[in-house]
Amino acid sequence: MKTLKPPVEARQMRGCLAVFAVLWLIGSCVPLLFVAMPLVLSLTSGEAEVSTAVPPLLVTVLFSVPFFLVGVGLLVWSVWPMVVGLRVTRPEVVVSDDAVRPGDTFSFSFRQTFKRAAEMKQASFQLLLRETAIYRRGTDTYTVHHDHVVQRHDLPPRSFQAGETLSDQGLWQIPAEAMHTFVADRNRLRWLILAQVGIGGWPDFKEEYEVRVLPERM
Amino acid sequence: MAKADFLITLQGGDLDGNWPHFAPGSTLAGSVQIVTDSDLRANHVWVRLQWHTEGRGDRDQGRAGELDVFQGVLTAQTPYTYGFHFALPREPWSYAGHYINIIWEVVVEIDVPMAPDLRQSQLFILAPGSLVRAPAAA
Repeated sequence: MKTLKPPVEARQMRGCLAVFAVLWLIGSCVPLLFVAMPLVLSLTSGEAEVSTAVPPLLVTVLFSVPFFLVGVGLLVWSVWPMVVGLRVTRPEVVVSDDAVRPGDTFSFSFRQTFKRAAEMKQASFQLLLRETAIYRRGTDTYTVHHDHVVQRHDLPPRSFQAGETLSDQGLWQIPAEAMHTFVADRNRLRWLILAQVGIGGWPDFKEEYEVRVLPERM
Repeated sequence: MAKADFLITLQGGDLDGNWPHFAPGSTLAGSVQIVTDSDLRANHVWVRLQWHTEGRGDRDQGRAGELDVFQGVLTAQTPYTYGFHFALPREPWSYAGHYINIIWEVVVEIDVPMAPDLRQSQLFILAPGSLVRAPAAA
């Protein structure tokens, strides 16, 4: 039996993004400091009047707000899994084998504990082949994905008490005529199990686990 | 500018649509015949076994084998025939998907000094069965 974990790259990327977001937020506040501080000082000392001091302050605020909002958005996205983690633990995902061949069947087990009482709207598990293509147009780099879902398993809504565990297990099969895992610099074919748990009044839990499909046929 | 006619023939393999099909790990044998319209000096005549991707993403490619079959002067209107064989690797398989296609080919290239190289390719399918396509939706 093998324990699956989400790709390390995703977590590292979120960590780097969180640091970048904090620096961005600090940077977006710098113009305000350079403009607001002297204005406040001149207003309190009587050297300037409100009618002449407020317009440049307003301009600076209007200029800084979009940058500040972008920083907030980046920070929220980067810490999103931590927010979800306030309600549920990181799941324990176990498979019978994490390297299989086309046509092979493998078992999949998912266990996740609710830290607080919650309503689970739905839970779904999908086995899919993801095509990822990376291309450049000028100086911009684009990444597109296309998922081919080959198997799906849904759980109905139910309530969970604090400390109660969501548990599901089943058998999955890679289609006999399927393609193996392929990873190149700009084109990738990866087999993933996508787990989604909808929590009422809270961000959904969503995680991907990779299964390596070998270039061998049964 | 010199021109050349290439005839690449792959031996064996089952026909899958328009392309010959070979199993991973098997041997790919064949021959290439080259006829030039004028005397042509060639630094090398390469026969290469390679794959590349096509589709939405930028191109990835890989080379599984290379043979240097000739160096010298190709006399005009004289057929030159060279045999080749390669051990086919186990991956990647040929694939036709939504954004990505993986294509295998034998490429014959004449390395012409101080001029554009002349090349021709013959596509084939490398897969344990027929051409692998994207799976049907659940």
